[in-house]
Amino acid sequence: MDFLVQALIPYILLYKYWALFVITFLAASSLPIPAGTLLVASAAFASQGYFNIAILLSIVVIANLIGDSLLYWLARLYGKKYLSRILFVNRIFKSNNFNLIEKNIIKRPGLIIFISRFEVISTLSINLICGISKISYKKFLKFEILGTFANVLFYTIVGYSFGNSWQAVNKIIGDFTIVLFLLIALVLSLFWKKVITKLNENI
Amino acid sequence: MKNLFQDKKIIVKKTIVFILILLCSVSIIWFIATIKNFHKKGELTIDYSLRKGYPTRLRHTINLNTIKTWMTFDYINVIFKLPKMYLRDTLNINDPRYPNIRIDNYTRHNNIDSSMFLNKIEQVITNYSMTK
Repeated sequence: MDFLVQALIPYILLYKYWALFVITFLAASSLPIPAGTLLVASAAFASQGYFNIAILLSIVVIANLIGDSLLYWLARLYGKKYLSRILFVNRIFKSNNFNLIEKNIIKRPGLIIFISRFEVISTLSINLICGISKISYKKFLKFEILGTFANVLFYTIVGYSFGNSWQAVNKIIGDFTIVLFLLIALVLSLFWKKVITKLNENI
Repeated sequence: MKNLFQDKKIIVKKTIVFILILLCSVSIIWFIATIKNFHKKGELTIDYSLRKGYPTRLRHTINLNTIKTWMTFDYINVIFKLPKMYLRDTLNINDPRYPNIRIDNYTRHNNIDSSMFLNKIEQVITNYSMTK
């Protein structure tokens, strides 16, 4: 991921808002690009006077909304048809755990969509599941706007406040994400049965 | 046979949990050490207070060592508050893409040693700040 960030930041310096729009759009629509890390860097550049913070915020929010909506609609229209042709994906679609997660998202999409905006892989997966499960677009968009705005604002404030220390902050965010993932994996492995029972109760 | 399979399953689960606990502990220690290290080096400082309104100037002076080859001349002009054509004139840069060109691109195209060129940039910026 660090390599990706180092490779993409020069493009942000060169092509400014255009690069920000394209990278954010690609990250939201399909590619696992660390958009949050890049946003911290861009906000730091804004604090140094290289970008206008209001334009930066607007462009990133709009690019996120377009990218997420595109993935949602692609998944809704063609997701099950094409993805089920891939053997292991078809197995996932037919698994009990997937059905359980799908039913829970359909029942309470708000919190899941909102929280998923803070991590790139979870954003992509939830957009796909929401599209495949044909959750109403109005509902999806409502929580998508709230989640995206909160996420963009969080990274922008961090980048803007720390300014010249943005590289250190990005390293800390990266390390924290690893800690968080490992803790989630540990909790899931310890309480897997309880989680499944709870999800079953929620339906 | 069934018991043996269940025993194996329990051992695998316990091993996974043990590895995860180990990884979690290591990553938490690593995480704390990273923050401490940045603090020690003074690389983690809040430059702008959002409570005090829109910033008008850099609180901390930007270190010249922060200049990297992936940066563009335009970016350097902004962060060191240099006149747009100052670097072009002092370093005799003839590239028409100036200031929107990366330093490493420029040095590669012109067969210049990038570390020497960075030193030159640092020197001219120091000269500029001394005249101001």
